[in-house]
Amino acid sequence: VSATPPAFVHDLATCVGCHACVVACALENGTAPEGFWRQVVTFNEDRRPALPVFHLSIACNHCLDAPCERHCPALAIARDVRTGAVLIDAGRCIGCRCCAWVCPYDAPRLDDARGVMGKCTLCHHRLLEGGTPACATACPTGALKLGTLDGDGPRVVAGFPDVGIRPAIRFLPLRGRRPDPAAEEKAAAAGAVAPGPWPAPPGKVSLRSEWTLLVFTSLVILLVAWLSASLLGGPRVLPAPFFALGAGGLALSLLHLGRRERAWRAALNWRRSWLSREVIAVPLFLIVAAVAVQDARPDPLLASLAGAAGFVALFCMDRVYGAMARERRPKLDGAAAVTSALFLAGVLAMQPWLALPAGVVRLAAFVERIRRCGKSPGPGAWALAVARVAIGLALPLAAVLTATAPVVAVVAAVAGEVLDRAHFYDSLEVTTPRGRMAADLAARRAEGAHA
Amino acid sequence: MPEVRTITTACPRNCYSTCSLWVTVEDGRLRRVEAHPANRAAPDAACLKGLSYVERTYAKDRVLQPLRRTASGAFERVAWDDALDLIAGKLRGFRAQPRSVLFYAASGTKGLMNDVAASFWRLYGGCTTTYGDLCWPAGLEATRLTLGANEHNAPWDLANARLVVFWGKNAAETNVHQMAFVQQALDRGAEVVVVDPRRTETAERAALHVRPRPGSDGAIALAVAHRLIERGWVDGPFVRDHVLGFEAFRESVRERTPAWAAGIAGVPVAQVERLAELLGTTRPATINAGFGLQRYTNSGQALRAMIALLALTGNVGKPGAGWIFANLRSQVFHPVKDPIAFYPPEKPDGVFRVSISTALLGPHMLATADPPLRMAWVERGNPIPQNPETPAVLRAFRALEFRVVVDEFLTDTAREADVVLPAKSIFEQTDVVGAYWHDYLQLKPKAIEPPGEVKPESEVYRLLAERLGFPAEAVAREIPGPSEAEVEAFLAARLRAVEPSLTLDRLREGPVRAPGATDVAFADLRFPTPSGKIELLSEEATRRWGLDPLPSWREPVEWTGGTSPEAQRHPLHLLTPNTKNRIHSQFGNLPSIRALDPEPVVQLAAEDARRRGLRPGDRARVFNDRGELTLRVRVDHGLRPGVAVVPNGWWLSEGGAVNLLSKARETDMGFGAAFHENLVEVEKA
Repeated sequence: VSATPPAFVHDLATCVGCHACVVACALENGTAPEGFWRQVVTFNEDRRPALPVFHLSIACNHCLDAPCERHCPALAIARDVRTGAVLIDAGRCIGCRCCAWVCPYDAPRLDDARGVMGKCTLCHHRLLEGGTPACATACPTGALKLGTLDGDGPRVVAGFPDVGIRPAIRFLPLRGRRPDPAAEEKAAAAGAVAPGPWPAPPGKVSLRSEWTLLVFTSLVILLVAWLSASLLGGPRVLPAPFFALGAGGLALSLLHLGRRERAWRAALNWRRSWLSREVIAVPLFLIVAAVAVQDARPDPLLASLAGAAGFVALFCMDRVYGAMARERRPKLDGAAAVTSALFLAGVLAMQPWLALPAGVVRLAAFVERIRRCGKSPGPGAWALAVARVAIGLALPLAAVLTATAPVVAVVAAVAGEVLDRAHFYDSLEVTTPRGRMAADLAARRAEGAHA
Repeated sequence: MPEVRTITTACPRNCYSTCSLWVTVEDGRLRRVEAHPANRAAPDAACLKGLSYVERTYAKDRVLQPLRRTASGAFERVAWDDALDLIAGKLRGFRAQPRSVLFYAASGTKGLMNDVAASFWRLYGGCTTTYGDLCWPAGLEATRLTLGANEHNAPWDLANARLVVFWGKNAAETNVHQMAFVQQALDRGAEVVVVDPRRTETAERAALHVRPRPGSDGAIALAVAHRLIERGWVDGPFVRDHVLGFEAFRESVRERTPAWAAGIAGVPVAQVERLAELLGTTRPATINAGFGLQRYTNSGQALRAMIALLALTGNVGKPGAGWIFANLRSQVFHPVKDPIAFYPPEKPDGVFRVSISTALLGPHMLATADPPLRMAWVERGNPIPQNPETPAVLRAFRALEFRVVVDEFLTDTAREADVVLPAKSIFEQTDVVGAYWHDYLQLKPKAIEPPGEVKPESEVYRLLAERLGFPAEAVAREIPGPSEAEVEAFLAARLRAVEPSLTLDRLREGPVRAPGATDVAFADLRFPTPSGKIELLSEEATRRWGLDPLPSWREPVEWTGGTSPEAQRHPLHLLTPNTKNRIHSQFGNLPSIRALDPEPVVQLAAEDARRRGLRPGDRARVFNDRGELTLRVRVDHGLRPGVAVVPNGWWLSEGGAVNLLSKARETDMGFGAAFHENLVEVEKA
């Protein structure tokens, strides 16, 4: 990388949101409308008074600390030393979408037809020929240019996620706008300021799109819990159903990939990617467990080893989502899979010393997640919350403490944990410019309301 | 290695910018569209529509061969010979009464080659055609009556302005290249004023944004004039030497106070006063009126009042100053410049019957007698959804015996045709285009072979002329043959007739400014009006249009300011502006445009939506006694309450044709279409 790698210079004052950059990018790179690499995100799109309307033209910012590169399990993303562009190698990409989850700029998009991820290449091919990116070439007002980070202008503006990954973009701020106070007052008097609901932008990750991951991770949690419980005097591991569930889970996890035949590549980035580590640890757990449970009376050491491998796998799994959430402070949910397995193991083994503390941690994590969502829950959400706590936690704990109805306890606990995991996926939030813009706008409006 | 050629061409759409383009053609296929930097008005880049030409040229839904309607009502592909034989047979039948054939062409593609159509119909023995225009005649006529000609300063001169008033123009969407000059002016300390009921992207740059009741602009302009005079912000020497009718005008606006206008327009008095203060104390000042606000029954007079403000303050004929509406300097090929070209001929030439007002297309077609219309030929236009009163236009077309539509796509109008002929794209025949914002003449050379069986219209006319047995000598003279050399010879002759130095080779290099073009219009302060001055008092306004000789304001027929029962039942004023995503009804069918603009919507002010129990995303009926649309609701907190906005250009077949709701009416002058003067009500669907 040269001393001053290229960076987008985006003038918010001259950008009129004309979308020429978006169409130019699509044309140059042959992307389909559902997978456009560049997007224009508008601040205050419904034009509330006393707030400016402006646009961010956003694609990949070729961050100097690119999380997509760091976290790609298949080692398919790398920075090109000639241009500084962060590039996805379509021949290596497995279409796991990990890059899309860790990118706060919503840059990597799934190319449905090819099953791989695609994103802005900085028009690498044009740069090598001495040209400029198509988007910058196509800007009729000169609002988007390719320059360097050396120069004036804020690195962060409202609606632009700042997560400390050194994106190669700087902004020229709004200037010369002096909204007329009289007009603003008139607009306010017309009732336009009554704070209406701000429609939340659709999340990037949803339960509907990720149900295969829900089933896969739930199965691994269950199997780790089962093996662990068997070591604590719980029900013996039955090899046939154990492996049927394990194999089923692995098969389902493949469905998540755009290019299943390259699934093996998911393990390549074990040095840096928690996903790679999970991809290694889960089969390792199943293999060690397979050896251990061959005997009707498994070797305790081997079985313990298998259990340990299982918890390592669950720890990796939790870290995958931790990387995605880019949490500054650890959250209780940060160990969702590990604590879930511990709780289920305690219930399966009918061991209050394990089930009770694990159950309390699970409850706290659930409450924290509900609080974080911040939305006022509807009746359906209330019913689910009550079911999760009453059936999934209170009922099995009562059974464990009174040492009664073990089958009911296990069924209820498993149901509760699956429900909880589904809620976990449903409330997963990936930072996007659109989401950040909505949040920043809400904050500005709240400020305005207090002022 | 593929053969790669870069060709200098121009975009011939009905758009201010008329960009010069560099297109890259690889092995005969269009690959890339970029701006040609020699066009100083649009040097940096094209727009999203220009970029989408690659997609448009090779679109899956493009019509690539002639289509004929079958007995079942569906279209079938037919060979050119069959299509032409069928049309020639019909034309032979109608030739006993050639005026039973309507020739209708709109503004879809500009160019000199379009003139071949008129030559063909003249050889045919005539036909019936339209007068007037949908787009801009009231403003053209207001400008002609006041300044004598539709000319304005070069686009880049706007950077010199210290005050820019955008009156009903959202340049950010309809003339995006102008925003570069606006920003240059702003960066030099200029002020921008926007007068628009919508908080547009352009209004984001404004220090003063006035949101008047639609139809009230003329009242505001008169009150600003009142204030300028009252406060002594008048350039006395300029008015004395160059303005006709100042005394009479001063008398006529004596009662036109800011309070009077504020009451009519529903805006704060202070805003009217502030606009006057800015115009009275800032030099140089430019007023740029859009096209939308002159589509009212009182709008020609409103624009005359706006020009008067520049005359009073001496803001004419100087850098950074003046009136921007339309710049017709590059319209050098026709004997009479617009807008007079739009009038029905005072002395009919005995060949054509110019009897149908474009604004009243449906009703006039239906009422035409002696002979009644039996056939229509439509090209470069999609009149069914785009002309006022869509139901009447549809009825009129369905009442005909035979319809031919030439288009690149199956528009609403093409879907009504008996025969659809494929139209060329902008890259498939050489042509020369002018503009109406900058003053460049541009060559649009043939860059690719037409795909499929597409033939340029001139070739279709030539083949029909042969079939109809027109005199070979006349055909050879009027209609160029199919080869490039013949087309170029045809164009070269037209250019030579205007100015000997205008050669195709010069145009091949890039855009060429029209003969006599200068950066500052009327710099010599000589105005081609009857008096040679700026005419605030125009006798022609009275003689030709029966209007007050001075700019004045009267109530529109339909508006929310009145107390008519109509305004009670349909209390929202419908605006149907253009957006950046389309040129009228073009481009919206392309996947990349559709991805950005997926469905037609109605925008409502927050209080209007709340009062009707409507939330963003709801579906709502937008209706009046003429028709209805069911559209998704978008709440726009910046919109003036009492206004409903449905961007135009959606097709009937897409569920968004706005002219289902409009009334066919003419503007007060110029034979324009007053189709922004419609009241509607909105309710939950």
